[in-house]
Amino acid sequence: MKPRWLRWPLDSRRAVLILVAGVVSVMAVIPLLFLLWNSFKNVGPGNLFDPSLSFTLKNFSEAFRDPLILTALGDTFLFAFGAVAVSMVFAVTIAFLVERTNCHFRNVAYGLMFVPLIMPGLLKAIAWILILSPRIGVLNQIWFSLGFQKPLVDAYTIPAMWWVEGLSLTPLAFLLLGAAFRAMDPSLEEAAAASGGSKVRVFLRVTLPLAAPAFAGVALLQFVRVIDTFDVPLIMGQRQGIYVFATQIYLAVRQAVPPAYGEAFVLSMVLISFSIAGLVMYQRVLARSGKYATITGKGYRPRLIDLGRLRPLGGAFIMFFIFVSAILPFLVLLWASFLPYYQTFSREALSLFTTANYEKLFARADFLPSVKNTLILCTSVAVGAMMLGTLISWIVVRWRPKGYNLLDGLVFVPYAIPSIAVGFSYMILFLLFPNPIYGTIWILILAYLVSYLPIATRFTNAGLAQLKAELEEAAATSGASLFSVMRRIVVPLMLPSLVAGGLYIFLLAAKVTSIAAMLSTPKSMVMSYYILNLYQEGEFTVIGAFAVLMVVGLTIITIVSRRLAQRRSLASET
Amino acid sequence: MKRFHHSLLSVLLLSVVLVAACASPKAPVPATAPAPTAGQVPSAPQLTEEQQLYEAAKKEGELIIWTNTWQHGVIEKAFMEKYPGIKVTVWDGPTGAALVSQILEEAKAGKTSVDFLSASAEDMPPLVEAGLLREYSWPNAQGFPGQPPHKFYLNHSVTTRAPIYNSRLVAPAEVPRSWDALKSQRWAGKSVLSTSGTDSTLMFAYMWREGNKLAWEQATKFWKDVRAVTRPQIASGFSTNIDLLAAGEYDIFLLCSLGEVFIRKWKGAPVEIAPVGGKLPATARSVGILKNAPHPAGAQLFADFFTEARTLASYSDAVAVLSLSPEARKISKIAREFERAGLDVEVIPLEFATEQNLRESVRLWREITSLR
Repeated sequence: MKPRWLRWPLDSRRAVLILVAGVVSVMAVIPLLFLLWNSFKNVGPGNLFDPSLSFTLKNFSEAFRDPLILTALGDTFLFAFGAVAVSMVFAVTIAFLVERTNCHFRNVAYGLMFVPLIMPGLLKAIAWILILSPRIGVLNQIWFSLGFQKPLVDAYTIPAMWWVEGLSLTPLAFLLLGAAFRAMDPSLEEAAAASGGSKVRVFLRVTLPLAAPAFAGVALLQFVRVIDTFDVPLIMGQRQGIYVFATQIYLAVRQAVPPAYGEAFVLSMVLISFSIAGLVMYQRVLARSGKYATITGKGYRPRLIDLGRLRPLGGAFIMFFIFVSAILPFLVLLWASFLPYYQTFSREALSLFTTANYEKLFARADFLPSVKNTLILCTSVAVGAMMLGTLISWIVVRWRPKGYNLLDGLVFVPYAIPSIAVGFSYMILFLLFPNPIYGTIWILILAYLVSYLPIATRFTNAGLAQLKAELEEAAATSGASLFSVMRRIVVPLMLPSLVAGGLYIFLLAAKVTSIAAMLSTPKSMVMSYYILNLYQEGEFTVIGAFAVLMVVGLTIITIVSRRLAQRRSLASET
Repeated sequence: MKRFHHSLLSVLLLSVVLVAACASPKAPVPATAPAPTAGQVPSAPQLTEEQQLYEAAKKEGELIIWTNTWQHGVIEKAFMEKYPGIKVTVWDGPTGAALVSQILEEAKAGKTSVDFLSASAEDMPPLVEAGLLREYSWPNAQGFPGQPPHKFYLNHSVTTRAPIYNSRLVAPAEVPRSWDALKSQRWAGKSVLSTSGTDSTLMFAYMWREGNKLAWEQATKFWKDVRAVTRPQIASGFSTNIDLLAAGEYDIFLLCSLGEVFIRKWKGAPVEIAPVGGKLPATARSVGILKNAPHPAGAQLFADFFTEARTLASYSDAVAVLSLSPEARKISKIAREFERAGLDVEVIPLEFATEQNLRESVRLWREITSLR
């Protein structure tokens, strides 16, 4: 006889569905509606969400009369397209090398790809200023030493921003594209090769067209993510008057006198429209990709292309990416962290080495509390998102009550809301009514949870889909409760996916500045916002010390978590 | 499986220890009766009152301070050492308009996140108008010049600005010795101008005033001309730009907050202040206690501690501003540096540093630097 929970009538399943969908709606849709509502109201400091205000298009007309906004619109697209292009070049090449060739380092590539994820974008931007700056940048210093008079590169230009953001986007694009290359049926390529096509010709005429829908899908997802980017444009773009929408929202709320809330609402809505358009196109690409389907029920593994003498070159390309995206920026900040004041490489500078910046950091009364808050925030968000994600996936993948698609769609709504807009809407929303969480770390946890739920469900959906339902059913028919089944079967088997997803969200929560920039208060200062403050008021050398400590800490957490997941995975296999 | 659980347990324990280590600040040595130390101003509240206040503050257990400068931490540390049992949270939060707007929004929602506010003088009038600051006698600050006509906040120090240059890149003969020398092709593409310091327009409008009429047009035109000729990079903040100047990214920082410059010089950085001559107009930094402070006794105790001459001198040296306390100036390193550099500073009188003028200054400075 089936246990009671397996025999739940459909109505009860729908009740659970409605309950979970309700919670997700409150968390994700209400802020969206709040932004929409206020963008049509003549709001200002002190009268936000005032029901007596009539609807108006004033915010829109004022925002779009401002030439700076129109320029920002162009810059947002320019920045997004370029950054996505850079990331796709790296990601496609590395994914192809790892999945379809026998190049060096292919076996460790997935582990290495977590390395660039560790350093926050803000720190990367600062490091790249020190590398690409026209006069003191490391690269230009080398260039000048070769006898050239004019700088080779300039950190304060859109191409430099493409480069830095593109490097940051690559690991996720690689993970997604790697799966696509892995799942490719090699028979078409083999047929082309048998017909006399050269390797290059087969790659260009068969492999690339087959993978094109996957490329387009990943590029669109990356586009949605990058138009939300706030840190790189703020640090690198502002100096030459390059503004994007995300920085405009930040400036409208945090620097305009008085704060231009109306404009911030309008810009948020425009940004959300772009995101929704991107996601709709992404869904269409996915739907159309059926006709290019190369994944069949056959058990196969794509044939590896022998690179021959070029094997080391393929490996070198992977290592080049790791070097420029993680090691080089870290080395520059490490160098800065031991200097009394920032200066370029020289023997004289080496003789001035000091640990004063580290001492200064620990002497600050707010440093350790920010570390503590960050640990609480990241752990809570990672655990919370993966738990909620597992519950949602359980409903969507296993139970499938009527209307489960709605829940699946609802969960994806926050992906369309830029995190700076999530932060902004939560800040205003939680000031509107008495509540105990405004001004605490919990409002940040809630906002981050909403933002990362779509990512969490991608991991949990995939993890759960790989498990055969028979195992759970067997345990259930043997009398195990739902809780026991989850605890003893589902969660242990899903652990590698849960740890990978949790770790990814942990690292994102530690890095992303935009939500914290809107919601941090005295008791909820976190490290990502701390870096922004250090940049605005502090010294490069202290930022360097901060970066070194943060990167080392996050690296330890990453290594330990991955080791645990690997051991657990091996244990469950045996 | 067992090994996994052991490892998991170790990680959890490590996390708990880490969190606990971060959560519990170093237990300071308890001071039975905080006695005034050498250099303190004798006009501090009577010992018994201070003790009573300390006891009340200990019961509150906490104090939250909103600052606009991160070096503030030095003072809070000294406070916690002198008054153990009070946990101080320092928040280097938003500044300027964002600071004012957040406090106003929170007040409308019936919330007060902070007890004590340390900010620029220009941020205080809107908070006084909204009735959010507490009137306090500031007993340690008798005789401080440049005070508002009420007691809702205290101006405790001043900051001023001047051009600074990289002494390795600018030859002595090229050093600008007047404001007009900034309008030179010599600095084209080799200079930086900060969007911060939005009261700069007021400083120049005051410096070049005719009688009581502020020279807004002249000040705006001057800086627009400088910008047109020198084509500077437009950046925010001062500190990181001083670092970049010292490293050789620019030859000149066209208008920089001076205090930080001395701190870099003490470390050996090649930065110097351009002797443009004349009196440099200065604006004040202020402190205030929030009316609905969640920890009022702690806030008052901190206010008294902060306005002691010794604390103000430490603050002055850490934040690199010139103290308004005559006693603090006697022992402040920064004050001596100002004297040595022959910098003559004139605080903009309150009748000129009005909220309206400050707003106009912000508007014009943003226009000059092409920021919103």
